[in-house]
Amino acid sequence: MKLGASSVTNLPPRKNLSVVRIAKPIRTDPALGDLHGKLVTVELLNPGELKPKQAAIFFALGWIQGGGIAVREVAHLNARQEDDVEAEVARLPERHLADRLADAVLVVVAEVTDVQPTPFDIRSRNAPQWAAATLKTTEVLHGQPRHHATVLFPTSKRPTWVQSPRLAEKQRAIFLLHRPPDGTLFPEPIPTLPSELFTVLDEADVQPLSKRPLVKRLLSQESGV
Amino acid sequence: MTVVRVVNMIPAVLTNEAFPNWQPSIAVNPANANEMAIMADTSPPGNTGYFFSYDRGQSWQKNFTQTGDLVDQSSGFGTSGELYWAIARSPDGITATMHVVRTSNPTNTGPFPEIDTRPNIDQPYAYAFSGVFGPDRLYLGYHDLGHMPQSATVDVCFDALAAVPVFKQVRLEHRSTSPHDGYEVRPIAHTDGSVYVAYKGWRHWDLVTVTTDIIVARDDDWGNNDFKDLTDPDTYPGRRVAVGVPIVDYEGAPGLGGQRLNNDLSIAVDPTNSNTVYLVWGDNTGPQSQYRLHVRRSLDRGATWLPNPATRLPDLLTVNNADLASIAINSDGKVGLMYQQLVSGRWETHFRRTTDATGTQWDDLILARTNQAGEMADYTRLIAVGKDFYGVFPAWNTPDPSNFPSTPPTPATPNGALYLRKTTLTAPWRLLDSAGIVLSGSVDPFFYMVQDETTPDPPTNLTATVR
Repeated sequence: MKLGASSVTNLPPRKNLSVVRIAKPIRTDPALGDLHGKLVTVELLNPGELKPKQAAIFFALGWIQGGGIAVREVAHLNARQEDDVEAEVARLPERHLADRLADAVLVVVAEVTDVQPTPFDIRSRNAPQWAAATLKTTEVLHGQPRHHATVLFPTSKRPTWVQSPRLAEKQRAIFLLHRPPDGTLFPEPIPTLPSELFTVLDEADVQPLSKRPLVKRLLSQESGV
Repeated sequence: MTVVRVVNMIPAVLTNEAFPNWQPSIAVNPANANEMAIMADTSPPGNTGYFFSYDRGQSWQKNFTQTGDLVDQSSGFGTSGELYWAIARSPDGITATMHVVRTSNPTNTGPFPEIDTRPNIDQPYAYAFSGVFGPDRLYLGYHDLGHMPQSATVDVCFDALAAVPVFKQVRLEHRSTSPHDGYEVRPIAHTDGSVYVAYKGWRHWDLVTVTTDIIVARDDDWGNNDFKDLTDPDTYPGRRVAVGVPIVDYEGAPGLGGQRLNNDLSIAVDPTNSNTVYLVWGDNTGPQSQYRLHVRRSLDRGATWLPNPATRLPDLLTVNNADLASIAINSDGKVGLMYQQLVSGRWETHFRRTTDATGTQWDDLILARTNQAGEMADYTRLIAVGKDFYGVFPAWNTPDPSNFPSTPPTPATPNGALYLRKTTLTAPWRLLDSAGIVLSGSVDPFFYMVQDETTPDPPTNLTATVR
């Protein structure tokens, strides 16, 4: 670590900058490739806290990519906590699933029995272009028991929606169903749809049946059972 | 002799980058044309950033200043050199809010201060007037879903550098629309205070085809007159350049090379004469209802749109099977037009210029000829600074020099276009990741510059000016 320095072409050195060599990338932007051994400039929160050649684990936001790499520190930890941090990073997908479960109003094991498009939404170029899937539930893991549910999922291929799940007839899975976002979902009312609708928007909202034990465990942790 | 430069902008440190570089937009600092910004949706989740160059586009860096995800973006530099950036952000994906931010120092860590916010909008278009003198005037065109069906709107700010800038919201549409106005609302200004806005007044949609008017509104006092200074024969403000043109727009529409249609409106005013205005739009009036671009001109401030004097046909220029059109006029009154065209299954990026004052003769540079890449963008942008044209286009990123006919390979640019990211330097032409392993292709933003022969070459090894 070199204090008061910069490794980025268009970023002059200043007091709160530091050049660090990455000994071990724990979680980084995949677009940057393998950062092992690379120099990165860090804008430090508190420059006085770190000394030259001191090792630390940095949590940082991206800042400049090009002519070098610069990041903004959010926090840092002692390098001796590396194992703990790696374990937490490995748990991020599970934590994300827990967050989605906490936000879900209904979690069901179900089969998709029908998928119908909705009329093209021309109001916005970025409209999700919903399709409506009918679910036949075989088990309700969370929420009010029911036999059927109607869930909306985006069919738009635009970047906003490209990671959202696409449902297909006969698909069997665990579905994390959420309330639709505020706002008018359709340009015109669709009489064939029930009044109660759910959505799946995040790729974690559809889990394979093999994840049932994990989902059950996370739900029980959430409810404190 | 004109010099053409085409640059794949992905920096070397981002050589593993494979995001879709969605609908890029460009801004060039009129106070220092070596500085330019290109906004494109390329960011990793939760980060909003933009490309910036200090050496007139020869090298680029990505700056992240805002948190969150964006769905649309547009930018402009003011006369002062201030960068203005309109970001549409949609946390729930359903409704987008326009956030307009500004900065005098693009390498600030951010977040930049916000000066205008509008909820429930689509496709913000920032135009910062960059004349030689005067305050920074900022015009923001957008489709306002909160003001349906007459949704075409412009926010006007007469001093965007003020401590607390004031924005006046101007509704452009005075006729009946159905189901609403079009997505593109495109302002452009002249140093004499003339401001034109092009927009589409949709009149009908039958679930397959939009029937729309193509409209140009004008304000002779920077926007103080609410864009009512150009009246149509039907007595309403806004001259209808074309009436009832069809544009196919529905789910599963054949599109063009995977591109969704209905988003190709662009306008330019001649900096040497505010009476002269050029307009381009796209519609399905080509053979067998092909998508077709139309270029037209007015010499009397938009009141009449003259037919081609050579052919007597309405268009000065007609291009079939093309979209992503953008038009600009340089300080010599020369018109530049960029578009992408599907030709024999290949996706060609063209840049054309008028070669005489009639507006009927155009040269044609093919900047790129690449694989089709599906839906890549709703819009791109071309601007003129002095005699030079600067633009950006999205294209599949195979680094094969035969893909770039206007920039033959040299020892310094073996790929034809200048690639900043890692590639093979001989055939077979491949992208390489940071470890030298072949990487799959994706859509990248390509900067281009069509440089007048009297303009000095871009500087080399130029770095940031510390502000």
